[in-house]
Amino acid sequence: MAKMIKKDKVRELLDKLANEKFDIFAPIGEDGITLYRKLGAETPLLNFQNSSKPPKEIFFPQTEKMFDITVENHRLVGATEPPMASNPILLFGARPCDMRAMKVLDALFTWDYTDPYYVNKRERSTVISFACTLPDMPRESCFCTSVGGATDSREGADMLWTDIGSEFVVESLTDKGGKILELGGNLFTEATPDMQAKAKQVSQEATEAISRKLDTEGVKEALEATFDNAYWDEFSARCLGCGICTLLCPTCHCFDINDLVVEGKASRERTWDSCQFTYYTIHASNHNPRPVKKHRQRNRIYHKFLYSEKNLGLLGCVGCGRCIYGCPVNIDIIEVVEGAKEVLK
Amino acid sequence: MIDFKALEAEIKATAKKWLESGEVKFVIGYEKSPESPIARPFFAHTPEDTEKLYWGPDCINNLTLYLVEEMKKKPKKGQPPFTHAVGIVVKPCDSRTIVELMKEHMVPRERVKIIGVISEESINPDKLYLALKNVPASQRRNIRFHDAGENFRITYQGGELSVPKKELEADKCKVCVVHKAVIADVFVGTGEIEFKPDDFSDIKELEEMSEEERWKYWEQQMSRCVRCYACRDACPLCYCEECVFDREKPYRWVEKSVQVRENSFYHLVRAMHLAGRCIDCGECQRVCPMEIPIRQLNRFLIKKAKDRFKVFSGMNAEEKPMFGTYDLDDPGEEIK
Ligand code: SF4
Ligand code: SF4
Ligand code: SF4
Ligand code: SF4
Repeated sequence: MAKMIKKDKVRELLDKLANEKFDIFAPIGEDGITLYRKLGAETPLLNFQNSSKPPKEIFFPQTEKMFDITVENHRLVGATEPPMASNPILLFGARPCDMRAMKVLDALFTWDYTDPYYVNKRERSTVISFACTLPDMPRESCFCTSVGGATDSREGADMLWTDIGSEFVVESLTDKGGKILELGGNLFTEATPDMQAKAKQVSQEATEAISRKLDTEGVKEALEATFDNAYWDEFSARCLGCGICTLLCPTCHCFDINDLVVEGKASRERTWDSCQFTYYTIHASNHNPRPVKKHRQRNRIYHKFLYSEKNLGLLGCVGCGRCIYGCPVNIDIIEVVEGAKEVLK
Repeated sequence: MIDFKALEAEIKATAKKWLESGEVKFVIGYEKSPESPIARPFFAHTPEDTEKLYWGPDCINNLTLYLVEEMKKKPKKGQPPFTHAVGIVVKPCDSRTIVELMKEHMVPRERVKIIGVISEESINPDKLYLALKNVPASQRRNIRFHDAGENFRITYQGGELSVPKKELEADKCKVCVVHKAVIADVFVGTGEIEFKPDDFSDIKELEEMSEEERWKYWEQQMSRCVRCYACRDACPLCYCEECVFDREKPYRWVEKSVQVRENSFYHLVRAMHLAGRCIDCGECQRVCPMEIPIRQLNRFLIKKAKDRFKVFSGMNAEEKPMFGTYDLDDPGEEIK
């Protein structure tokens, strides 16, 4: 049965959950952009344009310490893993596409090796997704509906909340979601049939407002056939080789492992990397198999639309549009992919 | 009033002429993107390509970065050095970059043919997005700008709206001191545009902070940086063959860890490398996905270079680079 919660009761709910030792991450406005930050006493944004940085960083931080290294007389004598936390995590207000993206990360981090850092945080987490509703969402670059998503996708979420004005219609999807209902107690009340109908309607309106479309039919074939085509040179000529389209992509997951010494303390940590960076593929011999921009752009597109499906059985793009919105030179993934299909014609 | 269509026609004609005569190998300009409200870089390789060239106040990118990229290309071993020229469309601010690049011997004068557009101002894309907020996403196509005095009349698929120019103006344009290319082979557009001297009032507040307060401010900003390096990659004066921040061997100058310590080191070093060189095209700040006010760092150093060394970059190709000269009258006992 669908429930509802009044918007002015949200802070009260979060207080209750904080008392239950939840680490709460929620959208916060900072200098004009939306970011997921650990929540203190402030009220999170309830209406917002999708965050600049996806919430993947809560489970897979941009820089994460793996262990401390003990050094004695310039020798490595031991390693100590930081203790794994055990308190629950609440991701409050995730966008549906970003949670679909977590499925790609889930598959990756449990693929041939189970990554303890990531899995620990995921297992501790409860996710409340917010359906995208007008007027803040969708953004002009959103295209989730073309890649299997929806403005009210429930995938990867424990609860789906839909904003119908002064309240949210609340749908619990898992046991973890049920637990939140329980903890919230009388803050949640029954949603009337009218409210439920309204929730359906606003989601429908948001879906209709998505203007970008990508036809994924024939994409794989086009990519398989155009690897050496001059096409990849053409559009990548204007690319700057920055990390925006990858670092800010919710499904991108490349990282680099480094040892470092800070103030006499050594540790090993991992940090997001980007296939758009020149030295991403450099070998110890100094050979670089992807020496120029076209190789790197091609890799990004192939990874999203070909390799990811081959390796993990999931499309590597959820259509969040961040790479389109953020690119300084308007390299538009929809245009690029559609263009590859054109080459074949 | 500026007729953007007429300017565009002149740009097209000039580029076409140059490509037909073979004076230039290609022309770097702007094209209108099918989906984005703002224009994007475009390379015209053939006379036919020039049909796609576009001009409007949404031509924001500083294209000179592609010019340096081309100039840095080296022929295969044993082949003679490249001598071909490249055509480029520049706004007044961008033209100052070319001057700076000439000073630094990165662009020989004979290898570039410049179309200098007399421009009043560029728009700030973030402000444009804001102005378009109430236009349904599906209609935000074919966006064109028309000069209507105090306002821009913006037409889009199925409608139009009028927005005061001041509301869209890019911050860098507010302190622009040129408004006409300082170097060009062909000028496009007419008119003398008055400009007010730059009083650096925009960084006054920062300057007046105590060191501690200022550090706190920057710490907050730096904590957001994701080190995508777009600010460096969009900068036409960041053209090092190998950037110190990419360097892995024999050792790293900066750790990959993304945290305030490393992020600030990156930004401070980059700012220093641009002291007396940055021409304030504002690209670093525009491209930043994290809205970090990087321009303020550069503006700080522009002011220092001006006050202490009487240097104002990008105005005269005959001048020597600030860091390449030593003068007994230079201020600062510590460096003598
Ligand atoms: S496609 Fe755009 S965002 Fe991605 S590396 Fe190139 S310039 Fe940067
Ligand atoms: S490839 Fe682009 S649109 Fe697709 S999920 Fe990544 S950032 Fe979003
Ligand atoms: S892509 Fe879809 S789910 Fe993601 S933010 Fe946009 S409308 Fe919402
Ligand atoms: S563009 Fe912004 S986020 Fe990227 S490295 Fe520069 S300051 Fe950091």
